[in-house]
Parts: sequence; structure tokens; C-alpha cells
Amino acid sequence: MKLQEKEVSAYKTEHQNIAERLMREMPLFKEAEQLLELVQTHFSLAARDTLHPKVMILGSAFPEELVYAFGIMPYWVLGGSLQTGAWAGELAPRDADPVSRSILGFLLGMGEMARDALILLPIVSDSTRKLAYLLRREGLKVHTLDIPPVKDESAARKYERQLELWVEAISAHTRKRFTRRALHNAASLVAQAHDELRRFLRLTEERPALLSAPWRMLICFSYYCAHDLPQWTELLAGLNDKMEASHTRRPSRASGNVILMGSPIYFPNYKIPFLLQDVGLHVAAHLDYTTRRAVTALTIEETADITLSGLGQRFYQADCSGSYAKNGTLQAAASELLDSRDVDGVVYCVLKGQIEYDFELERLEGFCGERNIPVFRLETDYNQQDVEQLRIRMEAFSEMLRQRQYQKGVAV
Amino acid sequence: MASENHISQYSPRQRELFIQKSTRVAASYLRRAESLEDPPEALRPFFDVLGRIFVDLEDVPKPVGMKTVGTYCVMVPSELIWAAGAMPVRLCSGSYTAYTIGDDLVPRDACPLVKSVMGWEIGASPLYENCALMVIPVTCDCKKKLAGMLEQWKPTVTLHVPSSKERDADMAEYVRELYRLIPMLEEVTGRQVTSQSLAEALNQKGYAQYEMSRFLAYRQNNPPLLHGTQVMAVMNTFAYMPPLEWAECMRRLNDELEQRLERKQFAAKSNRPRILVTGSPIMYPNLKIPLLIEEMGGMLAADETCMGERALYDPLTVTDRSFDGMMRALAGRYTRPCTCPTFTDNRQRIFRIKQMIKDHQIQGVIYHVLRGCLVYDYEYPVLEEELEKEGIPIIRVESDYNEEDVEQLRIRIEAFIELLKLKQFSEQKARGTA
Repeated sequence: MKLQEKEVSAYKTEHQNIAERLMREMPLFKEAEQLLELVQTHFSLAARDTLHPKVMILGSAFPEELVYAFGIMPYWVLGGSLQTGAWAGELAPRDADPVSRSILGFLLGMGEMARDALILLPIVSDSTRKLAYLLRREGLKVHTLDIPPVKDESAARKYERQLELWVEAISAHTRKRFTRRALHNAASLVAQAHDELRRFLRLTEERPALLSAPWRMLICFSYYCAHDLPQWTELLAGLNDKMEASHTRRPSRASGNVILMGSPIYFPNYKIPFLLQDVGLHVAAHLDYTTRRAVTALTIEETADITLSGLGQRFYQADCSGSYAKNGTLQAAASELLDSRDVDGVVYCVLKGQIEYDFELERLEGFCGERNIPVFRLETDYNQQDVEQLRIRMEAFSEMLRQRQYQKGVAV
Repeated sequence: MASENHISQYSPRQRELFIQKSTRVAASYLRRAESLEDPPEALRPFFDVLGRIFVDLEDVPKPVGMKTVGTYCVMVPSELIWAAGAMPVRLCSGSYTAYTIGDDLVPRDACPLVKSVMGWEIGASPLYENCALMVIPVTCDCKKKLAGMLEQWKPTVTLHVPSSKERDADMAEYVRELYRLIPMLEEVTGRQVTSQSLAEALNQKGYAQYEMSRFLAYRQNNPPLLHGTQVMAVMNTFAYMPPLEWAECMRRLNDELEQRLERKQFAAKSNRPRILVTGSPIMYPNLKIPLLIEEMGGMLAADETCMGERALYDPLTVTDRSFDGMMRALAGRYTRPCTCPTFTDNRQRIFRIKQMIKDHQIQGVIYHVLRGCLVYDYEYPVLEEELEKEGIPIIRVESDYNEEDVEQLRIRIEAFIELLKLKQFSEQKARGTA
């Protein structure tokens, strides 16, 4: 697909605007800026001609260790851009979710980059099913992974068999053998990165004044933009060290501590975190299946005797996406967060078309109700038209939380 | 379907109103389907079954003491349920009244079919109430989440349908899924699934499919012997009748159609534009699209939907008569010829539609999308592109489970039929036969 000048410019502007908005906050650490640059490079249009990844992963519902085990850096396409969504044109129906639309558009627009790649696509929703079909029609090499809709013993075995098929497919594509040693090395590499990511999350929670929520989300997201994982880990470790060493005083408790949950939020779609920041709500924690991965991934110690089966089970059992008939893991993760954090409310974001998250809401409201924690559901897509509407609703929610605090006798 | 707790959420007055309204709508659609000109006498038993279940709100006609197992898709092998000594009934709902109840129970953007299923929790239909088990194949996001919701009220089994059917490994997974289903069925009925009971169930379904193939041959006749709306009603009844009984009724219908063909007694003239309907399922009583097509002067000559021909057109082939051989044949039969868009690669559906266009001399295609039925919506542009190459006009119509959009749909369908008539006229003119 040949992109028009106007489309290219809109894409650049979209990313540039978010980067500028982030830079306006002037982070204290140069490593944070470097990570932002890394994200920008990942999304740069020049990548179309310079990068020729062997393996691309659509979405994050896949243990990337399996790709690293072949000595390959995967190229992730997570789908956060409004503009690439527009590139998909009418190929995606009106009601398709913006993430899938964005992924489809990206691969059509950046087709050259994907030409020789094996595209790994976990089937997590209706849109991903049909994405596989549309991409194959474009001549791209797509390999799918069926995720069993329930989590029981037989489903776990099935998931393992699916992973074996993926390993075979990657092996056939790269003409490399999959060995236990390679898996161990890959798992260690990824575990080091996740150990640093966990450290980062802990530090930002302990010292919220050091980095704002959008910056925190960006740095977590930058993991998926790393083209050299050890280098990325080193960069994050440097940032963590500086954060640890900084003597910022813990600020007084924010008036509206919220947990942001629901559909995943990917760069450059930072509309919601920016809005939360604008209305004075503090994101105490962020729970979606991509962010949760950082918390549940293997630690270095756990990689010692890692097997394909063990890795698969760990990933599958910890997966808290909405793509299960009834996902106890998501409920457990939410409960854990609500019980361990001092939280005033939950902001539940549903991207239009991601109906599975809407189905999960009822249960979430149930156990938040038991804890007397209000839940604010907002529905949005990647367009900017609803920003003011959302702002008014969020302000009202923020005000309500403040009132509740007064009633509880906690001075703000 | 609902537990006592859920039923008690509704007042007796609410239930009374629900029953009144839902039966009135069902009766009205049944009457409209019956009153299409000159229906064959042999259609009566099919209409009676629909009337019994949806107008009189009685249970399905079944052998005494037999339990029923609810299914939510054509991809559940009914033979396995029969072999276990239970009767399969299809629970996908087309009720507008149940939809209004379900609208409050599931997210706004869920498809109307799922909302309608959830609406029956009001506890008004023995079809749902008497089910001993529900089997829900995961064919789309809404069905997946439906499985999670239904398990609160009834024992449910989730059947994982592979997203692709080309690889042997996917087939092997589906065979495993079917094996996993057997003990759950046996637990419900207390009867074992044996080679003999399975073979018997296969034969019975085979007989029904034989009569179906005869019927499909008559359906291709131009001028038509039967209205497409009536055909859809007949197809719907397969989900609520024992296969032998259904096949027997079908045999009588086929015999009558044969006589009508000899007498040249047709349901309509051959100049009506012949239309194929494809897309989201059309469940009774939601017959508004087929009825609109035929009331506006078109002829619904074929359908490519899961409540129509798709369920029965392809017979089972068993080459290995061992138990495992039959299980593999079942897994293959319920996935490989299936043109459901749940499969990632569904070029087969395009071939099937093109074949149907040829066989049924189709002049135009109506692509029906139930609001929120994303998998069908994704396939529309591809089909549109393919049919454009063939010179077959196609329109996409989106509908919901209510009657508010009927007039809008009427205008669009009427305009489409006019377009087909004009095209037909200009083609005849070009051939000098106008």
C-alpha cells in the first residue's frame, strides 16, 4: 500500500505531539528521554526501509522468550495509533476495535517491513481471527495461536501443544534449531529485563513524584520497542539507580488515587492518562494484560530449570486478558491491587469494540462494590473528539472521590 | 434456564407481559410465513413445531423421559448428544421480547442473539428451563463470554473450536474436544456413548441429510416451488425435532414438491429476482429479512446461513467405522465444510457462495449483519470485491432484534429488488427476449 503524503504527515504529527507533551514535563532523568527516543525510533517511518524483522508479534499475548530463543529480536506491533487505523480504510468494519484496526493499518502501510517476516498472531478476539485472514490475503506469512477460552488442565495441555506448533513454525522460518540451552538463555535475558521493570514499577509507586503516570506507562511500553534488549535493560537499570538515589520526599497523599484498568493503552494513544493527570487523579497502579506481564514474568532465579512447558504454563496461567470465558486471573489481579494499594476508585477504560472488557466489568463492579470502591467506566476510541466529554466526566468522578474523602474525615 | 433466584427477580406481572408479547410476536411471524401464497400441505408439521415451542411455549416434542442438551451453534455434533441418549436443542434465540430483557443483562454492544438468549432467564420457556446441560462452542467473543455467564445458572461445557481447519493439528485438537464432551454427556444421561449408539445416531442424521439433499434439488427449481421464508422456517425446525421425525416430514414435503413440479404448480413466477441471503444467523421468529425480501417482490432462492442450508448441506462421510474413526469423521464434518467466519481463513465461504449463485441462478446477494456480529462484518468487503468481479450485486443490511428498523430495511430491500429487476430487464433486452 502506498501512503499519501498527507497520511505520512498525520502519522508523524500524531507521534510528535505525544512526545512533545511528554517532554513538556521535563523528566529529571536523561535515561527517560532516551527511552522516549527509542520509542520514537521504533515508530519512525524510516524503519520501513531500514528494518527487516524476521519475526513480528501482533499484540502481547505471547511469551517472547520463544522468539529470543532463536537469537532473534521480535518486532512488536501493539496498535496504539489512530493514524495507522485510518490506513486500514474500509478493510476493517466500522465496529472493529481501534487496536486491531491500528495493527492492520500499520502492516498494510509498512508492508515492506513485514514482507519477509513471520507474523505471529495470538487469537484473542474476533478481530484477531479476521486480521489473520486479511493479512494472508495481502501475501504476508501469518501463523496463529489458539488460546483456549477456559483455564483448566486440558486447556493448559492444549496451550502447550499450540506453543510447540509456534516453535516449529519459527524454527522452519528461521532455519534454526530450538534448544533447551537457547531457551534458558532467552528466558534469562527476558527475566533480567522484567526484573528491572518490576524494580521500576516499585520505585515509581514508592516515589510517585519522580515520574508522572504517562511517563511511567511510556517507559513500560518502551520494552516492546527495544531493538536490543540487553541495552534496553541497561538503560532502565540506569534510570532505576538514579531514581533510587534521588531524595525526593514522598508527597502527601493524593486526593484521588485510582487504578486504571480495562483495555490496554498503547503509545501514542495516551489520551486517558493525560486526562487523568489533567483532572488531578493519580494513577496508583495500572492493570491490563500487557502491564501485568511485567509483574508475572519469570524472575532470574526461576529461569534455571525452565522448559517450554513451564514457560507456557507460567504465561498462560498469569494471562489476565479479557479473552477467556471467565477469567479468574483478572479478578485475582484486580483484588490483589485493590487490597494492597490505598485506592479511592477504579477507572475502567473500554475501547470501542473490545466487548470482552465490557463483559468483565459486571464482576469487577461486584467486588469493588464489596470494598466500597467506586468504578468509573469510560468508553473511548483513538479519536480526539470525545476528549472534552471525557474530561467533564472525569472531573465529576474526581470531585466525587474528593467528597467521599471529606466524608471519611480524611483532609485533602 | 434460570435458577430460582434469577426468576424471582421478575414479578409475575413482568413474566405475564413477557409471555404475552413474545408469543404474540412469534405467532405473527408464523402467520406471515404461513400465509405466503399457496404453501404445500406438508409444511404444516414444521409450522406446528415452531408454534408449539414459541407460541404455546411448550417443550420440544421428544421421547418420554429423555433429557435435552442445549447447543449454541451448528458446530456441536448433534450425533454425539443423541448417542448419549439425550436430545439436542438449539438455544440461539431470535426473540425480540427476550432481547429487551437481555439488553439489561449484557453489555450494550453485545450481539442481539446473545442478548436474546440471556433474556430467557426470565424463566418463561421450557426449551431453556428443561435443559440438563448447555454446550457452547467458542465461535466468537460474545459466545465466549456467554459461556461464562450461563454457567451461573446451568451446567455448561465450553467447546473450543479451532480458529483454523487446514492443519491436521487443529483437527486433532477438535477431536480431543469432542472426546472431552463425551463423559459430560454421559454424566447427564447416565448412558454410555458406544460405537453402536454413535453409529445409529450417524445413520439417523444421514437419513435427514439425504432428504435434505432431495429438498435442495427442488429448491433450485426456477420458477420456485416454495418460498424462501418457508424454507428458513423448515430449516429452523431441525433444531427442535428428532432427526428421523424431521426426515419423515421432509420426505412428505419432497413428495409433495415433486407432484407440484409435475403439475407445474409454482410458488411464484420465474420473473422474480432470485436472491441469496448470507451472513449472521436468522433465528425464528426473527424472519423479518426473508419476509421483507418476499413481500417486496423478490424470491429468497437460497441462504448461506448457519440456521439454513449450512447446517445440513454436507453429509458425513465415515471411512473408518471404528469409534475413533467416527469421532474423527464427526470433527471433520463439523468444521471442514463449515463456512462460518469464526475460521481465520474462510475463502471456502466465497467459493461456496459462488457455487450457490450458480446452482440457484442467483441474481443478487443480501448480506445480513446483526449489530455487533463482527466476524461477518469483516468478511463483507472481501465478498463484495469477489462478487463485483462476477457482476453480482450485493448489499449489506444491518439489523437488530426489534421492529423499529423494518421500514428502513424495507426501503433498502425494495430498492435493491428494483435494481435487480432493471438489470434483469436490460439483460433480457440485450438478448432480445424482453
